[in-house]
Amino acid sequence: MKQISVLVENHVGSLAAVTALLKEAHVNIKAIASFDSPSYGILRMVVDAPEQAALVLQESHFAVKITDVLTVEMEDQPGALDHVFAVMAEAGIDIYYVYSFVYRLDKAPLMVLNVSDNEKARQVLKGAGIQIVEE
Amino acid sequence: MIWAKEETLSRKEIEEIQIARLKEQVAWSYERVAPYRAKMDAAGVKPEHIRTLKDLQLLPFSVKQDFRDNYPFGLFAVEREKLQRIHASSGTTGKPTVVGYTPEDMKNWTENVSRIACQGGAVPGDMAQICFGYGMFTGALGLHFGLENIGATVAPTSSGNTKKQIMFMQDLGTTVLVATPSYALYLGEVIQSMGLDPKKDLKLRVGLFGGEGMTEAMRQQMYVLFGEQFCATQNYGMSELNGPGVAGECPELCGMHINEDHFIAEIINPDTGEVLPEGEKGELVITCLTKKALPMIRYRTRDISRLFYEPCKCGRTTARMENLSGRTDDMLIIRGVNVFPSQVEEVLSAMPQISPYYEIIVDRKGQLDTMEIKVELADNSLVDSYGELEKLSATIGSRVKSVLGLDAAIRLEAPGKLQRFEGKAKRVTDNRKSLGLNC
Ligand SMILES: [Zn+2]
Repeated sequence: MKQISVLVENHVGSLAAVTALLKEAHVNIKAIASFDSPSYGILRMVVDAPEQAALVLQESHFAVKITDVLTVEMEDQPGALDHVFAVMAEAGIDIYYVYSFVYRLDKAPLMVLNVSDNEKARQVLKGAGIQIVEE
Repeated sequence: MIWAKEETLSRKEIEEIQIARLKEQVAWSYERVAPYRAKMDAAGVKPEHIRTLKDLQLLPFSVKQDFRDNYPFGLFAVEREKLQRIHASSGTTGKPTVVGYTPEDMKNWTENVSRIACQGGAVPGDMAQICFGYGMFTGALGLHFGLENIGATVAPTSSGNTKKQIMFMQDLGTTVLVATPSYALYLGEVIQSMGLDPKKDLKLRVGLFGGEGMTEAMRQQMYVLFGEQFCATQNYGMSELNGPGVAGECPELCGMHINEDHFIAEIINPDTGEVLPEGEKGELVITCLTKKALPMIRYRTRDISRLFYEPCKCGRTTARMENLSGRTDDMLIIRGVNVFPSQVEEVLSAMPQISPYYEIIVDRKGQLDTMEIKVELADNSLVDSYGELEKLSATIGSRVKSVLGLDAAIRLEAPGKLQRFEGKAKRVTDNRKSLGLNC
């Protein structure tokens, strides 16, 4: 799955500037995460039309990067997240960050993972019976 | 190609021409320009005191303020009816600087520009496109006449309308581009964004840049945009000294050759006015040796440079001035430290992750001056990683600190975010001035 990362400034309204542009372009945000840092923030999103979203944002002079991330389907029960992380740890794959979808696709919670090795992660997750959502 | 034999004279021959013309020019000014005569009288100097080139140091300086005080024609040595042309440079405050030319001045100006055009690589038969704004500014018509004079075809496309500029560039087969370096870089970016390959789709060979200084960072970016074969040189002049044609780079890129039979260059300490020894950096002062309508003796350019006198590999023997390292009026004093924007630029230019565009914002919080530097990422490759972005900010910050001795807040901006300029780039915003602070 594609994620878009946007460099945003640390001031009032900077997130709204991004979401307003996406709204205008009828882009639907499916997952979103933002963390603070002293000088700037990276807004990460999974959207229904990543290429179009990137184009719209770049036209308004935002720095945007599209990256491949993994989206896994979680079982809605205690220990589900632990299971995913354990599988990755065992395979020696670094998890750089995780965040979750803003809505549940049908029923299962969805989690976005950015990891050191997408292909290997895909294999080990599948091997452990964890569902990966591609689109 | 060397345009004039005066570019290859021996030091002795150059100096003989200079002293003869200097004596004539000082007498001409003393007789005909009342404000300069008053300055000489106040300094107790008479034309007959000028016997050797060293005596130049006895003469009072001319400054920009003289133009304001004597607006519009008070510094002229001839009647208005004797002038063939008037130009003016826009003053940021108050009245513009009005300059004028006799027919003989026009001839000398044109010849000087022809020399710098050839120095920069232009040849007879070139197709030259001039993207300077025409009108009262000296740059456009100066290059226009100089290039026509060497036998180039000139297209006066003037400034603006970038898409049309590129259309002409393709359709006319432009080989020489005349522009400010900022605008040339902007043109190059648009050309690339249109999917054109300058090496295949354009015939561009030579860039003659002026109107603002071109840093090494900008030159490197010219090669990225227009190809390694592109001969990107800059030239120097200002309307008070005719306009372009005072000096220009040759392809050796080791400073700008000064047209020394028309101009004497000196370097002074801007605070004391004392002449500095060869090779030292200071304010450039120019004396015009042939300008009749508006003689200029020891004009303080407020540009910072230094001079070299060894003959150049290109075959010219004229003195060279180092590419400008700022203007005395660009100098910022931040927490008591002298800062030239060009120093920041040199730091940024060494880093491939960022583009040559930047902005400096100086402010005051409480009693403390603050400096923020906005820099533009070269591309989007680092945008997903806090680690990489922070490392880049930290590296820029520490290099700036090692050069300036000051802490600066570094702000990374998206590619293309910072303003591009058609004329002179405005890189510095000093908010302390709007606060009415003395700095
Ligand atoms: Zn040379």
